[in-house]
Amino acid sequence: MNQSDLPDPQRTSARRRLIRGALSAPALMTVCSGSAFAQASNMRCLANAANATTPPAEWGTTRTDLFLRVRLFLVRTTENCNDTGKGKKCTSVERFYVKGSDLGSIARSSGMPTTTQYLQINPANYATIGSPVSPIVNPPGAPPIIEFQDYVNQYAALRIDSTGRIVGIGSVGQGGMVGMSCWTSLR
Amino acid sequence: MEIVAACELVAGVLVEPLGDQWVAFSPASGETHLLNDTSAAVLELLDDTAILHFDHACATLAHDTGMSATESEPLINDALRAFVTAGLVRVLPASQAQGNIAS
Repeated sequence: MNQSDLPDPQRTSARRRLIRGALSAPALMTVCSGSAFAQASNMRCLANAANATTPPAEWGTTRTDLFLRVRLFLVRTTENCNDTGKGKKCTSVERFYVKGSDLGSIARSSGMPTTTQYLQINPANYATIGSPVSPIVNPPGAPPIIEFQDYVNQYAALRIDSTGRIVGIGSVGQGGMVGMSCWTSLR
Repeated sequence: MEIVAACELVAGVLVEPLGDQWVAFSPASGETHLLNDTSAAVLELLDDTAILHFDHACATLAHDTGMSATESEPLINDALRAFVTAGLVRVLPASQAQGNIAS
């Protein structure tokens, strides 16, 4: 007990109360911790989400909602250039990614992009494609291949396991969708 | 039953009255406990002195309530053991307890 916590003369004294009564058997009961209940509740929230057989919402959406999601990043590149004799003909290729840096500081399992990696995702069905890769960059000393890159209004759900890690993105992978309220109270 | 010969309050323990009872918070365990008057009185003795010796606690509370020190011994010891378990009190080794006798 700190000095500031010492009972002053005006404060109730347990010994004074005892003088009025008798020395009974001592009793000490531990009060259930609210934080422990809250923690158990939050973990149950994640466990329920991870075990859900049907998702509570679409794996991908065109606008944010109340589920934990990440915005897709479009990179359009110029590829397969051929000289046709009438000029150079190239193909534009669009790839959609989830940027690892957009996953914040949430713990993630192997197979998920690190903060410097991208993970490609199919914008039609929100299934991931392949393994995390390094971002495409324009080759030095050569014509740029990146035509355009920016975020698009498509959002893939993050799949979370019962321990709170990201184990999947979009429609393919383990774990389940997690509502913002569940996640916010846990973090 | 082993006697808690000497002990001291864990630093930062908070005790407040709550209606007819008392609540004590231990920063060591992070738990809050509900106490009756007897337990709170023992805790109050611990607050009054740096090191509380068992004999001193028994004599003081026996004097307060008019019972004999011998009668109070099992009650005080039960309280101290419960406090140790709850993280409110730390048992002192004999070597450390000898140097500071509460008066």
